[in-house]
Amino acid sequence: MPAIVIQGVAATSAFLAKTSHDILVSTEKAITEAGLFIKAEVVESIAGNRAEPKSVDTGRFKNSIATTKPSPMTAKVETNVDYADILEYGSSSRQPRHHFTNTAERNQIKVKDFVTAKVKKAI
Amino acid sequence: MAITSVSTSTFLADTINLIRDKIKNNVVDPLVATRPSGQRFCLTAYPKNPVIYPIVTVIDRGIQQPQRLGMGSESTSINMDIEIRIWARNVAERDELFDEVYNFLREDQHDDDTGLIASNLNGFQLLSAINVSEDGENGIKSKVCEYRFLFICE
Repeated sequence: MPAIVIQGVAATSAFLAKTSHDILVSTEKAITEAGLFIKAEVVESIAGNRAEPKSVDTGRFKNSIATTKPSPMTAKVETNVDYADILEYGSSSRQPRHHFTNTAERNQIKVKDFVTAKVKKAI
Repeated sequence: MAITSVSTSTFLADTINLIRDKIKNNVVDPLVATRPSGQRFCLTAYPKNPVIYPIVTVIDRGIQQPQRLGMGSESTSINMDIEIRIWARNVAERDELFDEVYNFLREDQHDDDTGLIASNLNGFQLLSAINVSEDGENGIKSKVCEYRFLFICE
């Protein structure tokens, strides 16, 4: 009676498990690095080295920018300074400066390409 | 001249003016009876001179082109992010105006002759609504709302 024997199932399964683990690790690393990159870009924007006006007086706002990782696949760039929303969105007496939104817009494609390249490298 | 639909050659200016006109004509200004002449309820830039609140500002917040419509085509689909900001004297007024603007835009989408889709603005989405409150009892309370529309450039 003819029979088909499939060899290497265990090795294939082990390879796929390792690859998917490698992809997850690389993605997580890439997201952490992207978060740090965006943080640096926001700081540059506040310092007046990008298109937005400089927002440094005492340096409190610039020094407050931090990256956190609320979950393995998320990086958050944030500030705890209470006047940050007025600087970002403006007020009745102040024009908006959009340090965060403009940085996100400017670097959206860069971050996407960076993470994709890291994942491809892992495969 | 009133804008009735968005055309490819002037899509950004048309969108801003169309939405401004829609809000101006359909959202009730709380100061409709008392607003001095020369003072506007709906503006297309942040005010630089003293104004009488509440006001609504409509400005563009960036454009993305997520895709081309085929390799051999010059047509593109464009996402336009429009900021509609409510500036009010207190939180209740701010939230009531926000509700009114949002519900008007939502319900205006499918109107046969003059709705957003008939005017070439598709895919209405509210992306975010962030409160920005100025200090003090008399501080202006505003809500920064980002809407997204899809426009086919052809």
